[in-house]
Amino acid sequence: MATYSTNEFRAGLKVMLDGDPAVIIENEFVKPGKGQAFNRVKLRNLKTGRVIERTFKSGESIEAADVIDIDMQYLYNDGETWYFMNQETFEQLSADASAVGDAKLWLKPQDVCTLTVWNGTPITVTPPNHVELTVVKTDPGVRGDTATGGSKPAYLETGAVVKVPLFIEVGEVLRVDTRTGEYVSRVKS
Amino acid sequence: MRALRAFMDQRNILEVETPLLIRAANYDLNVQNILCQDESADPRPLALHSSPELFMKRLLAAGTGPIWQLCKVFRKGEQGSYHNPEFTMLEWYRPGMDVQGIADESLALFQHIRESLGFAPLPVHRISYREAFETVTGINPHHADAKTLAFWASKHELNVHQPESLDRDQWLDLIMNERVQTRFDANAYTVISEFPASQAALACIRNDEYGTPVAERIEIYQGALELANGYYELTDPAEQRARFEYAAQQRRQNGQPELVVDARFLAALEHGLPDCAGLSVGIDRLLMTLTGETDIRRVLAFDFERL
Repeated sequence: MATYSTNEFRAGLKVMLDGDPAVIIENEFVKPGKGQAFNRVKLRNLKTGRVIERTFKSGESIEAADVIDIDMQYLYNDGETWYFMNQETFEQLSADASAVGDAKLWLKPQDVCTLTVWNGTPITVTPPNHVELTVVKTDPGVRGDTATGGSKPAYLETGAVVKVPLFIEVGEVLRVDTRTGEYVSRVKS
Repeated sequence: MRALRAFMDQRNILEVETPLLIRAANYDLNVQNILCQDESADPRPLALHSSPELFMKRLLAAGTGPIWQLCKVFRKGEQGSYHNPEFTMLEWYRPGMDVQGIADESLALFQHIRESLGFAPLPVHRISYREAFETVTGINPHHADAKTLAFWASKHELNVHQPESLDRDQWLDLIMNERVQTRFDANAYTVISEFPASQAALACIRNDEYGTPVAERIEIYQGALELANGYYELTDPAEQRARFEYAAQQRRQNGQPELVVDARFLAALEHGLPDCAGLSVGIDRLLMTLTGETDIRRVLAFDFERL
């Protein structure tokens, strides 16, 4: 099993911590002039998303996590399981609700997502930064009102609700930023 | 730099130079030398020095009187916001002075440099290691065992990977660094004295007012940043040899490379090192405090990542 020594620690490195895969977010070298050197490390547990602070004696090693990010096309879900396909190998992977998390609000069939896969099992699903989704329900549009700053909620085909300007109508396709959950623009069809 | 030279000149301290490229590596378990090779003349390994201490003491034993040096030193693997593997060190020795005396001289130097740059002098707090440690943790650092310290750490969100692997001194280092120094006044110099005897390095050991053996060693901080480390120097060759041998044995145990014992240095001690105090200052860090930078890379034109 591959291991990483503290002097290889850097942001982005994926390691095993307390039996779970984790990614290093921050690594600070601390050492009294005449004393023991330590690495003060911040890690994010890749399964729970929780941030952990842990101190390592410099020179120690920990196990590398067999974690990779793969771009896969979203196919469909049956309410319990979400199915994805690797567009090069046509291999399929399924992710459960805990791995998909809030990403389910942005998943549209055929969109390409990033799956973080640990020992062959997806543990997180990251949707594209921007998705284009159709409005299925919203209050009637205020024609011509493209200037004032008012907003209203709009329900999208995936179940997500975003705040949109007053002129948006049902059936329009919107571009949404999935990192913030905010409306970006209309998509001209 | 001009203020520094003027300060040393005014006090009649002689500027010296000693080799950066050395044969016998350092005694310090927590400092690793960067090793080099040149088989053309002599097959024995060479190293870049991690401190000019042993050579400066050889000069003192030869009767130079007070000496100072500004040089680059090298420490393997020390890299971060407060560390660069190559850094600039100021070190000086004062025969006939005690460790408080040289600490005062160092503070006078810092204030002198501040003044020369138009900064107001900083207030000074003086506190013993025991007092600083006890104030924060309620634990006496001279008597506590590793288990007690580990328990305190676990109760104060100091989460350590494989805590059972840390010994007493490692716990002291960790708690001091992460929970005690962080409380030091950012706008003052804090002088810590009377270190645990186990952390004496090359300092003398004596009994404190409670009869506990403590090291005659001081450190000066601004805020949590360690700027200077000083000793009332150990001059007893037998004690020195014993500490070298202990360090060699620990190195063997830890699987670290074994080092040549510096026979010439021990011979100099036997010849007679005058009673003296010595102190070293991390100049890059001093610059950080003067410029307000929080990352050592910001005060280096070319840090280790830009070589």
